[in-house]
Amino acid sequence: MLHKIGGKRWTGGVIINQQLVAIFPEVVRHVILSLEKGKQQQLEEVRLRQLRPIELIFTDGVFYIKQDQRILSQSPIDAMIATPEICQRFLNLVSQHSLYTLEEELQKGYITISGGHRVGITGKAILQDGKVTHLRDITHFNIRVAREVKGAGQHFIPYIYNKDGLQNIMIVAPPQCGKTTCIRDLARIVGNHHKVAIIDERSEIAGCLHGVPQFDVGLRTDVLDACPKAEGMMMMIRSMSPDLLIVDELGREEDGRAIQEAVYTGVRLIATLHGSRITDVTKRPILRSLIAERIFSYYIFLDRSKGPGTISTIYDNQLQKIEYVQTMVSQSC
Amino acid sequence: MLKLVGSFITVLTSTWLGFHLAMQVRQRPKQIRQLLTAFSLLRSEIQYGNRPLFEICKLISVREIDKIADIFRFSYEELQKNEGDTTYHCFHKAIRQVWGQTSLKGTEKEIFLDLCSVLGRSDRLDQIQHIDRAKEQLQVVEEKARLEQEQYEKMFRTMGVLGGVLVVILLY
Repeated sequence: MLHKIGGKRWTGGVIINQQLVAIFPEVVRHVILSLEKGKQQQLEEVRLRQLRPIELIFTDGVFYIKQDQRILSQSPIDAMIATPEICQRFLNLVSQHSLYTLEEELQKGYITISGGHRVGITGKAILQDGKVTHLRDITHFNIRVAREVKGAGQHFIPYIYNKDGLQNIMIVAPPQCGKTTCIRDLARIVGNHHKVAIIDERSEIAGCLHGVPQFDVGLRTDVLDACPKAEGMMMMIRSMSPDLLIVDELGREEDGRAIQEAVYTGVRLIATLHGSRITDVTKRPILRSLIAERIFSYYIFLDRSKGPGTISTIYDNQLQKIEYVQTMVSQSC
Repeated sequence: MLKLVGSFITVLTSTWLGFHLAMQVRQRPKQIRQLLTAFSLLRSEIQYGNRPLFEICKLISVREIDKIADIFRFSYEELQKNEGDTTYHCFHKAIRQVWGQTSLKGTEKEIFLDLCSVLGRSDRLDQIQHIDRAKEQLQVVEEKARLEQEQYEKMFRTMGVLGGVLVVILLY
């Protein structure tokens, strides 16, 4: 697979193995396996919406499965429909016939499956005291394929390492722009030299299966799987004495407080956040105090203008736009 | 001589039939109680163990005995395949294979299948409510089966022997 990322081309991508394809509905499984390897590796998402066409999203666009020929087409006309049976079978596969074991996941709206792949789900929300307690009538699925792109983090290295050593950086991007892929590779690069601790709340970064990372996250990297970020950061600092903490998708207020606690212990941090513009991001309550205290040395914004993981803009700790250094990759890493 | 042998076989067959029917009515409440124990285990594993259904079935198949264990072992094998079949379908396959070898009747089967149609498809609280309802229904059926046992077990045995003797007398 070739992506233009940060002005350079990446090679690598998702490995379509039996474990991953087994989760797909039968018709999707056949189509994906019949594709050439290069195209397989471009697969980003499979979306099932009950009684609507099954959608396959590749790096180069959205495709549908032609009903009669079972080949890919960019037109939704005559496309294969996600029947209630297909949706039900898929839900059984994902939940292992045991939705009650996924109560917490159903509250959050996604399930992480082995290999670090994430299945987003929606249906009818059941509320109790104004809070979502459960999802019923689950009819929409989004299977997000986790990808391992070695080299995806190289472009961030000049910002993580400088003359003062490791730096705190925040990677900001809308969904599907490669945030998790980038920090996974950063963990691998930095984790081959320094002690790195990943707090993998959604089991997406390391894709742990029974506690063992399924992705290469570095020789010296420790992973705390499925633990809330705020709690996990302090746990890792106390127990594993890391040089660098990595957390994905900050969102709750307590995450911000935990970051303040963590960085003042002397540990460095790489975090990601959903967002697309600096003006929007600075208004988010979670970031206000972190910006005021200049905790992060750099805010790196990603987009998909040249493929997932393209560095669009970089701001320093005073939110001044700085020039993107493309070529300065640390040889030590 | 031939008549004597024929009479002996008739009495033997009739006695066997009587004892078989008596065993059926004796076994039924016992197997319903085993099913109730299995449901209790299912309930506690869902409530406290948070184990997936296939693991619970495996656990029950180890703890229970005889045919009830077989139902859950077959269900475990079907669920374990994880081929996307519905939960109901997996249990139904297992029940179809084993039910004929048990002393259980259609009423218990209906209660079991009703529960299977909701198993694994909702949150924990809902699952527990369904299991409790199934247990209550089974308890009523078990009480009836126990009364039937008291009423018919001895009768079937006696009628088996006497019926055979009666046929022999009539034939002579």
